[in-house]
Amino acid sequence: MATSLTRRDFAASAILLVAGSYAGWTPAQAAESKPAAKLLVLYKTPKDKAAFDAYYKATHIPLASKIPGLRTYEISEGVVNTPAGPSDIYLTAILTFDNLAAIQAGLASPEGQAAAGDLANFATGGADLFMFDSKDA
Amino acid sequence: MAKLVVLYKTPKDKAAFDAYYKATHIPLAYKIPGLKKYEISDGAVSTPAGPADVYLTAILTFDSLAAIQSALGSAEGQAAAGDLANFASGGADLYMFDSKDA
Repeated sequence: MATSLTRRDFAASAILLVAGSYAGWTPAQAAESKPAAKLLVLYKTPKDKAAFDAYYKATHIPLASKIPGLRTYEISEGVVNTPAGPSDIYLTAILTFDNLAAIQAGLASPEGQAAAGDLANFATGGADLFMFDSKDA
Repeated sequence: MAKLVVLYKTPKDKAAFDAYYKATHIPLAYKIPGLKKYEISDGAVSTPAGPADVYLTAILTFDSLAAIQSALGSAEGQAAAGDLANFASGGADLYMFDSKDA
């Protein structure tokens, strides 16, 4: 399976390479998106994974989805790895807003306060939150 | 989809980091096979309590975790990963995972 993926990736790269040299076009430009800001949450491994999973899905996602200004809300699926192997991170969440000011306003709202306050109810391993404006590289 | 998240800790020389990242590392990383999207933070990285010890974030999107692993194993991926030692003087944490809508 790894071999076929590699082959497919090579084929795709070759096509993009040809397109790129032809029209000065790169895949990144094709995927260019409007300005945005991200709230990145890294949940460390909790004491009870099954309890974490159940609470996150049933309670925290519905709460966080109510934060005003939230555009997209993505979470990791399965193991979070580092290049050296498994990480101490159990789950990641990436919440996208229009800009950093919108994140700050979203977190200060009653819905944002409810979602942030909810972390203490399930994030038994702790969680790191990072927020920043983001742009295409 | 899957993401490769890179958290660069505050480097010893921010101006040197910025110049190298833009002129050398971005072009190298863009060559990684299977890369769909490459976003970086713009300005300060904050925590709810104030400034973070993270100076720059990069989020690279691929089709799947298998695609990330295969890409990092490629010559281009090895070149980009090996380049970190040339500018990430504060260290960097890399995380990779499949992702889905919550």
